[in-house]
Order: sequence, then structure tokens, then C-alpha cells
Amino acid sequence: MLNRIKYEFISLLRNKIVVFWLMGFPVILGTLFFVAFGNLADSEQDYADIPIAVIKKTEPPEGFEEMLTALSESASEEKALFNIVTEEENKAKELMEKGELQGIIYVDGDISLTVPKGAGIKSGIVKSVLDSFKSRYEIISAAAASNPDKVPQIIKEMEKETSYIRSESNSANYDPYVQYFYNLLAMSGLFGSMMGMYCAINHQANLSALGARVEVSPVSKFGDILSSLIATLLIHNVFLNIASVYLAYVLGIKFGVPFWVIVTVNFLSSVLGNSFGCFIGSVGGMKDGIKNAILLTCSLGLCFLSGLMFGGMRLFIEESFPLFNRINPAALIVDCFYSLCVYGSYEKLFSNIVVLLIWCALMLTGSMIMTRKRKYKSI
Amino acid sequence: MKGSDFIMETVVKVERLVKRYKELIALDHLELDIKKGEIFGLLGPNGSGKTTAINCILSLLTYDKGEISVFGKKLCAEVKKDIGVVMQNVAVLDELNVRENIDYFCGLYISDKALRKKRVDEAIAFAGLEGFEKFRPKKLSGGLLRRLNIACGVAHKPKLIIMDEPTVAVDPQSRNRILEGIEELNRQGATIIYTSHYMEEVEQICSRIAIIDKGRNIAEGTKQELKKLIKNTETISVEAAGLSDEQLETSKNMPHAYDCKYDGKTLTLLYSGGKHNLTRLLDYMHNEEIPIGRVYSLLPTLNDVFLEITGKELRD
Repeated sequence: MLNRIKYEFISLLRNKIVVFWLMGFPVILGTLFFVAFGNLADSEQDYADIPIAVIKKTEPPEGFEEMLTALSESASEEKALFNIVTEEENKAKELMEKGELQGIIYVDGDISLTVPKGAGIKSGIVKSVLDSFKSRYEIISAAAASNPDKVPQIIKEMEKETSYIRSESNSANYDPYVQYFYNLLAMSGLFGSMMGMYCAINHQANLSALGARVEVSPVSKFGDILSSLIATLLIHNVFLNIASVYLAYVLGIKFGVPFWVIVTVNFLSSVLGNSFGCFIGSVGGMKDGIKNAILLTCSLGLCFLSGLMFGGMRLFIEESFPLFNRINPAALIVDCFYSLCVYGSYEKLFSNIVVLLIWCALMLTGSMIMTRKRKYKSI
Repeated sequence: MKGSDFIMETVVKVERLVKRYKELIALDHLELDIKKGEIFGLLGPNGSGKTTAINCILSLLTYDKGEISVFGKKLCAEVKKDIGVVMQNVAVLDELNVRENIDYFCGLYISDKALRKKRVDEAIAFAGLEGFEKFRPKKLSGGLLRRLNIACGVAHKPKLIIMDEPTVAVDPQSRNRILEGIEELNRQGATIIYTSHYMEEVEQICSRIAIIDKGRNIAEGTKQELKKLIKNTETISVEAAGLSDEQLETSKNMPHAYDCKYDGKTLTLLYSGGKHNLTRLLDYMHNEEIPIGRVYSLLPTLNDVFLEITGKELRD
């Protein structure tokens, strides 16, 4: 197996197309992003005083006003997170249209949020704060109804978590354009599908002459595809991490997350990309070019929906069809970085990782089922 | 010495093999019995079922009926270790050089590094690829690429080598080199199954031949045995212009001649058996003072055998 891994590795390393798309392209696109967004980012770096409006049509839930007050009052050295510009609905809508508000919070029995078109990271922060409040309120309400004695303990745990998030968030990068670089890494990960595709094609007799040669040999098919996948994962991770190092240390992009998180998420996205490619590659009756087109379309399409070409897309999806963001692999990869960077939430990171792992398992299982055959009806 | 001189046990046995692609019958109760040490030729036109038969033997294709055994067993990993396959299409890794490619494919059969190195060196020498070890496939000529393809398939020194049209699109020089190589492998003890639609190749190297048409084995034997299956034993052509009807009639009635064609310039007589047919015809023409040009005496080829056996009547 080592011999096969060695030669698959060498073969991929010498493949100029693979090297370009998996390392050269992210580096070039990253450089272009850096040049394009460098100045824009500087002008939007300040994430304090996010302008919002609060429209109260009913009595807000207990603790809500205290929370808003705490977040809109500046401490001695720090600016406040929110700046409540108005509480009048018409004025709020007017300001929103002018682009002077990042969100309107409606208290109308429930708490809801309206964000402007093309909402960015600032609106995302407002949404996150509201989501966090709502979930905690529900937990405490439920506990108060069922087990009132436990409420003080729950509140204490929540306070601990809050202080942890604050300390972790100190290194956060609120540059709205950093999410383009997250998307770039997601895209590079999913581009691994192009290599994964050939793992399947080159080991199936009904798909290639090379596959026929391998299948008539005494090696186990599972072991053979596995050795090929290991080689592609190795090379892909090397390329991904070189690109990440270039972005982080040469261009100086502040990802706002520890580098080990980047390496871990890169690995997962690489496994996902390769296994996705392997899955599509193992489908019979389609030419390589069509499979490549499918993979490229899927990879770019998913990245588009996670904000590679238009930063507000992910938030737009979050508002209109949030479930899609929970299953879109590109959005999950982006959210791994985003949630940790902006909210300092490892919980979200790990839940995203779990979903990514489920995707990987599904794709790998599907690939193995599709490629398990050793005899074909036609070749 | 050809394999037929030391025929021993059966290496590949195919019995009543039927393979259908929907309505099309690709193999129709195919029977093959390939003995150890043979170069066994599977001869047939494109689409006759040669490659399908090979793929069934290699257990790549499912089949509807029949039995196949290799070395007396059903094909399994243990049996596969002793089989080398040279596919019709070149199957090498473009990014690896000649030595790396051979080592990669040899590594599918041999894990011992030292033994593998020895085998790779031998395969390079056998295929005449010395000096090209560092070349990548794209830098090789068509003939060298085919030789690399063969080297990748046989480097592990298999006991049974299956070659599916290994000389397609190869120049004559490389083709001869490949055919010599196949004979050398056979001399070293390998049993070889060789498929081709080039009759002269099969005639040149194969000790026994099966003619396949429409998925059926329509004739099998040595080339001499196959040639005995047809009526024609000799074809004589003489350039002789202006033969009279009487002379033509006399020529047609020569002993053992069974067919006669004349286009005004060349007389062609087909014989079935008999000796001294050419001498007899030339004596007659000399006595008749008929001026003659070039003279040809052709023995039947496998092409004649094939054409006669797979004639229209037979297909109908």
C-alpha cells in the first residue's frame, strides 16, 4: 500500500493542473481579494456602536431591556456594541433604507429582527445577540416552570460561558471581508473533489483502462481506493495549508482563529471534497468531463451560496432558508471560522464539525457502496 | 520451441459461456481450452467477442451462463497473482516515468522491494526501454508507449499473460519487436492468450488459434489444422494476356483445379490438393506458346480460412 501511496502522491504532485487549482488558484484569488478588499476593510474595521432601532409594540420579555442597556452603554475604555438610534418605526424604516441602520429589532409578542439588503457582518452580530438572548430566555423559562430551584445555577453557568466567550473574542477579527477568505478556503477544500473523482475513476474497470488494470490485480479494491484517497488527502492538505500560510503570514490576513483550527477545518473540508469527488466519480455512464463539470458547478454553487462572490449571501440564506446553511458544506466550513472569530463560540465550531463529519461519512459510505463491485455488466 | 511441443495441463477452460448485452448475444456458448505453454490466438473481426471473452475470463464482466476456470480454480486474488494483463488501451500513469510506472504496477503483485527492483530492471530490458527509464509516457513514441504498456503488464513474471490487441496502431518495426517479445515470454514459460484481428500476427506467433465470430468459436486448432478445414490448398496466378476460350477451358480443367478466374490479363486458378500444380500449368502454357508475365503461387492464409468459414452462407 505504501508503494501505491508514494506513487499516487508523486503523480499528483507532478500534475500541473492539480497544483494550479488546489494551490495556485487559492493563492492567486487570495491575493486578488487582498488587493481588492484591503482598503475597504480598513474603513469598516470598527465594530462598536452598531446602529440599530428597537421598536417595542408589546412589553419585552424580562431581562431584554437590561441586556440592550448593557450593550448600548459604553464602559470606561470601550465603546458600546450597539447604538440605539431610534425607537420610532417610521424613522427606523427611513434610516434603514438610507443604509444607516444595521437592524430593526421588533418586540411584538416575540422578538424579531429586520436587516437591510446586503446585510453584512454587523447585522450578523445583531442577529447573533438576539438569538443568544432568545435561546437563554427559553432555557431559563423552561427551567423556572419545571425546576425553579435550578434557575440560579443555570444563570451562573451562562455567566461563566459569557465571560469565556469574551476572553476568547479578544483576538477576534471583525473585518467583514475576512469571510471572503473563509470562503476561499472552503472553495479550495471542495475543489479536492476533482482529485477525489479520479480516485474512483482510476480504480474502476468500467470507467477507465487504468481501473481495469488495477482490478485484474490481486490487491483489495477497498485498500486500493483507500491508498489513493490517502495520497490525495495528503497532497491536498499540504496545498491547502501552504495556501493558508500564505494568506495568514504573507498577506497578513487576520483569520481571527487559532491556526490549528484552520488546519483542522482544512483537513475536514479536504476529506469532504475528496469523498464528494469520489462519490460522483464512481457513478457510471457519465464522461469524465461531465463529472468534472458537475463537481465544479456544485463546489462553486455551494460557495456562492455561502458568500464567496457576494458577502451578504450567507446571511440572506440565514434569513430566508436557515436550514440550508446548516447543511451547505461550504457554509458550514465558513461558519466554523466565522462563529469562532466573531462570537468566540467553540460550541458552534464543534457542531459545524459534527455536521461536516456526517457529510464526510455519507459521501465515503456512498462511494464505497458504489465502487464495491468487482464485476460489471458492461465495460 | 513453440508451446505446442510441450502441451500439458489446461490453464484456462471456458465452457458454454454466454454473455448478453440486452438483446445482443456477445458470447454464444463459447468453448475454449487453453493449455500450459501455448500461445493461444483468439482471432476474429472487431465486435466478434474477443475482448468480451477476455473480460469474462478476467472476471471483470458478469456473464449469463457457463463456467470459467483459470489454473483449475475460479478467479480469486491467489490466482490473479499469476496473471498478467496487457489491455487494448494503454493504461499507464501520465505523471510517472517509465521506471516508476513499471514499479507501480509491479507493486500491485510484488511487495518485496528488492525483488520488485529486479523484476522492473528485467521488464525494462525485455521491453527494450533502456535509456527511456526517466521518460514520461507523453514523451514516448507510439511503439515505445505500447512496449511500456506491455512491460507494466508482465513485469511481475506471470504464468499466464493475456494480451488484448497489444499492437493496435503500432508501426511495423515496433510490432515486430513486440511479437518477438511475446515469443520470448512464451519461451520463458508463460502461457499466452493473444487476441488480434491482424491475421498475419496470429499466424506468425500462435501455436493454436480459435476463430471467433458472433461470439462463437467457429474453428480451433493449429494453423495447419485450420487450413485443412478449407477446400483451397493453393492459389496460382499467371499474367497471360489474350487467352482463347479453348485455352481457358483447358486451364480450368487442370487436375485439382476447382475454380478459375480470368480478367483478360491475369489467370487465377484455385486448387484443392495435388502436387506440381504450378509446373503442370506452366508446361501447358509453354507448349501452347502462351506469353506469360509474373507468376504467383500462394498457399492459403488464415485470411482465406476466415473468409471461407465465415462466408455469408454460414452467417445466414
